[in-house]
Amino acid sequence: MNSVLVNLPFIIVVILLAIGFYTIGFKRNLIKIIIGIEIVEGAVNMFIVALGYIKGGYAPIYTQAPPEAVENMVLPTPQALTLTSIVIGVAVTALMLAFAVNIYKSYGTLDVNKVRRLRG
Amino acid sequence: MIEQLPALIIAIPLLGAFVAPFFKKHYKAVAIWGIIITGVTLVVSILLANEVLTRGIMVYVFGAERPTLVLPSGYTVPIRIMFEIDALGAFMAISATLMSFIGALYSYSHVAHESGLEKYYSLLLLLEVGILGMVLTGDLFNLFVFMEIAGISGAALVGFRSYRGEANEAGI
Repeated sequence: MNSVLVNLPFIIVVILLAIGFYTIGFKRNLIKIIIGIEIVEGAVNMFIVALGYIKGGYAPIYTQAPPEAVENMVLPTPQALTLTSIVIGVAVTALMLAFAVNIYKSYGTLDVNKVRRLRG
Repeated sequence: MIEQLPALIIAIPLLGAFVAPFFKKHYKAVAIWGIIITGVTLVVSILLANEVLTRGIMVYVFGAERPTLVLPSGYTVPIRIMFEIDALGAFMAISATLMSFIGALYSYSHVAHESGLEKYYSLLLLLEVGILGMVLTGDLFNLFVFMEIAGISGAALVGFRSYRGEANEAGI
């Protein structure tokens, strides 16, 4: 039971990845594919954060830290990377949605099987 | 001056990218501005390659004098923004800046009849910033950040002619 609780974030990551890849692979609406990409991105972010925290560690902030925390801080890089990744993910989503809007304007559909004017 | 070259090679195209939207409706001016900025960046990258070839690998730290500063707990990983430039990085920087310069020269006539050229040149210079940051950076974090800059601006450039459906289809 304890191992299930410890590994719960990773189990959720696996479930989210499965849902996201299913959505990308088997849905035909572009908006749904974008939602699938977002789900995969959330899973990856959660994976990095779950790996980056060790049980018993302290937040890596030196200001007013208790004395026993100085030797027991977690590395701040995964959290900073995830924060950056979330912000960049919003930009990527906005770009993809803008492309979807323009595709709907010029093709009249969002079905990826009908959006097939590119050759080569 | 010479030791600040790694910061300048990022700062000059970034300045150019953020100044370019001010040239709204002045399409000749923004094209010449893009050519000037990419040309200056090309000169800076050649100076940088010369410096690296004569004095060896350069390590540049943003916001500190020396790259050897460590965390207070004694963990010996440098925590600042590092640029490490060796000969391969300098070569890649020269190729990237040269291709950006040629691209800006070619764009002068190629996209002359489009609209929204100030955004086009802004994206072109941002793409150059992303590529230069990718080849010159010293850690994975900044590689990720600059890769996203290059990726987003590159995808937006692919879909620049948004009145054609094919461009949007390729961009997504």
